[in-house]
Amino acid sequence: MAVGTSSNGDMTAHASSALQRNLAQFALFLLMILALVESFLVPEAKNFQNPQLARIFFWHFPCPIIASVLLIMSSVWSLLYLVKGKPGLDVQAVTSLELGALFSSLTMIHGMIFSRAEWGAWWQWDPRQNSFLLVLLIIAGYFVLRSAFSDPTARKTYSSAYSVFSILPILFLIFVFPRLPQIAGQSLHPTNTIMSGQVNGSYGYTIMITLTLLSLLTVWLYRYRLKAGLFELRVHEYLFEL
Amino acid sequence: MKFEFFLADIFDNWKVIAAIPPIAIWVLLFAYLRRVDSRVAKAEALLKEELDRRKSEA
Repeated sequence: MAVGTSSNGDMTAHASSALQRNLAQFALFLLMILALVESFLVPEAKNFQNPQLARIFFWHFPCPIIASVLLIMSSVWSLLYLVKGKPGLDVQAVTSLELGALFSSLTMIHGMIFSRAEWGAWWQWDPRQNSFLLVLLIIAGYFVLRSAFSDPTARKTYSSAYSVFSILPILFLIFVFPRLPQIAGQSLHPTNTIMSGQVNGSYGYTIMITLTLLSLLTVWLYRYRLKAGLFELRVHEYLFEL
Repeated sequence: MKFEFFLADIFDNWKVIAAIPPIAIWVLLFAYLRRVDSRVAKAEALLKEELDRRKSEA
């Protein structure tokens, strides 16, 4: 990728950047395979309806955590953009939200596979599934709003304001609503599994591996997307100055 | 063996189903990476086009 290279084309930087990306991609791919093998070596969780498929949890669990962090980050960057007005801050906000949307979608996909394997249906109308669907719709609203404005300043300002205000319902739907006593009682989805010490031993260890691995992957993707976004911004600013 | 039986055999295997989540992660993140690359390529093409136009005007 040529992000970060000068406009007259620094071929050496381009080649080293592409090599670096391919190496990182390959290393992460290998680590993912190792983590997958590790997850298969863990003994089966006997208290699950389908003990072998409880392994989906290893990949399902890190996704909403990473998504929540990214969504909070997006809101903070958006607030900073509204205060300072620097376009780079909007690039940070949209980068966080894009990756947040990606990990939220993965949460939903893994959750549906887990639901089918353990509870017998892809969609259970479980309060946790419903609340997370609402989170996805709120995130989709950000991108719809962003694409509705052709003027870049209006696009950045309105989408930043949306991001700042939407974090409250998002946090409520992810962390508060599923834990309300009357909701938690109806849900098949367990709550506070980690905090109450239900996941330990080899399960706890494998979850730490997948969480670390996916966090590293997110940091790398974030930096990559940010570089691309800032390059795009510089090109547009340069063309505008012309 | 008919294709649908072959598929049913594969998806009866719990190891295949348990491998779907990490594969889904990889596929989605890889698709995202491609999208970022195409945005950069588009910006580069725009820049090149503008520079060429200015060069031909000069």
